[in-house]
Amino acid sequence: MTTSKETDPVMLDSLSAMFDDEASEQDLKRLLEADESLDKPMQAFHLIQQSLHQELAISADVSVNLVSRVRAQIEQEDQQATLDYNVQTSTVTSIEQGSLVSQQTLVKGASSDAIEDESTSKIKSVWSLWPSLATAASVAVVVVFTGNYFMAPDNIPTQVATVETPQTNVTLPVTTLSELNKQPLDADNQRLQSYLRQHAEQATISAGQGIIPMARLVSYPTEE
Amino acid sequence: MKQLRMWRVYLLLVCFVPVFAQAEVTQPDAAQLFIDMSKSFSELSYDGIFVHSEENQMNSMRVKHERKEGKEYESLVDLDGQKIKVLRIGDTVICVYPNESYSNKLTLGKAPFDRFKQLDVDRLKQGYRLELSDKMGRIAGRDARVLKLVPKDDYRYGHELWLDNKNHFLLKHDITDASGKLLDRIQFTAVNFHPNLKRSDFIPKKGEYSEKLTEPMYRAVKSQWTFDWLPPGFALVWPNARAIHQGSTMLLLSDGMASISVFVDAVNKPKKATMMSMGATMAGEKTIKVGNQLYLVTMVGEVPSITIEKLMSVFRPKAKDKPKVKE
Repeated sequence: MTTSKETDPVMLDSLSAMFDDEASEQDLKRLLEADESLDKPMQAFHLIQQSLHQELAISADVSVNLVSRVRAQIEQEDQQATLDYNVQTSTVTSIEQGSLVSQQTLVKGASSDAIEDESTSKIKSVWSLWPSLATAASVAVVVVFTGNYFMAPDNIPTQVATVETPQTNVTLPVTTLSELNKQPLDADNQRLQSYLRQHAEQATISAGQGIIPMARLVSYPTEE
Repeated sequence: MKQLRMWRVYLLLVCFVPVFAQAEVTQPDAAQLFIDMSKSFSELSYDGIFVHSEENQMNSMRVKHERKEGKEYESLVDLDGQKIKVLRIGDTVICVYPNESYSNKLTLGKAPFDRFKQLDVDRLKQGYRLELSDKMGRIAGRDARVLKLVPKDDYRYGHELWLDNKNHFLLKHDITDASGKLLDRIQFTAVNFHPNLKRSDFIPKKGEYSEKLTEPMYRAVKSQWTFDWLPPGFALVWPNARAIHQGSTMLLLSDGMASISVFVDAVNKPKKATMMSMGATMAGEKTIKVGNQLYLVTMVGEVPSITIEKLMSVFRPKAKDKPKVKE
């Protein structure tokens, strides 16, 4: 990779196009070949940010060039996709629940894009790189706008309380409650119907709409 | 002299007309409107018919309300399916289920119509952005304006409240999901705010319901359960749990608009985790193991499935006797 292209206006146009989400295939190829030549514009950008916002620590490591980072990210994503597939498949098969079979199929379908043979991976390399380049571009754009936000004189950074929220990995499929009326009414269904009623009866206390939310009682399954 | 008078008139017009114009366009406070809406349900007398629709179901119902000698009288009758009739006198609610062999008589813990005095708008604002829309409309022959409760996160639905311009009564209520899809609608088709209601309108008539009137005795018990996390704005409505039957307990959460009921039953065998919905109502079930005992946790609420699912994942016995939970 040569550094002679670092002031090449065509190269800067390609970089600009990438930031604008308008890069063509040629632009992408040009950027992939450029490698270290993009370091200086990126470093200049970084220096401007630092000088404007000394209080903000920007952790982006510009010593590693953009394309190398994108390549590393793609490799990482590919490995993660393969890992996710293996983990999800083993989890789903061990549970052996009918409701999760469809998820297993979906996971397989999604990961089949990630696990591909060598011949197709080369053909797809440029196009598969595009989303990652676009991601890198959007990150950069976010930094620019964030910078502008903090530059505004009447915007004082304030301490924002963070709320930790738990993460659930597998989303349960949602079925309709009216199915209860079609199923054999065992004790479990009767219990659930009773709870639906009690919820409607008690929840009106907090709804602030008088007795009207109890109208939902009518829609709940009631066969016993 | 005539010219001077004309100047005076001109000055008056210039100075005061913009003031009047401004007074006309002054928007009422959205939070105050919400409080007014809640109060209107308990303070106004009304007799109206509304339609409740969700998914592919639609029911018309008649609601009557009167305040006499400091006591609230309210009735709700299903006009289509004849399935239920709900009567409320003071703090006692009677639910009549004609298709079944029983009726319920509930005594609520506190007078439900006094609840709005403690309406916590600050808590409501943790979960929603209250917006007064420019949208105006006509519902049940009355001019209405729209108050929107825009959720600040994914843990609750959006609400569009169409309020009567004059008395702030809720004429139409839409519940929508994050994509804007309508999940649940309650809309008045006719309402009379000067009804001539009598006490007999609120007394269950003989033959309308089964003679067998069950009166569940809810007993406040110390809650053995807690949540490691709650969506912003959500809090327990009762300080204690309620023992409902055979060792089962119930907790109630609310963010000021949506509510979630939590039921805990000791069970002998595990049940598959499930999530069910009907319109805006979501119901989730999950079995957890505490020590050697299995518990079935059932959560029901007008919230998205993600909220129920996350709450089920953080529902735990209290720390004091907190054995390891196996799911």
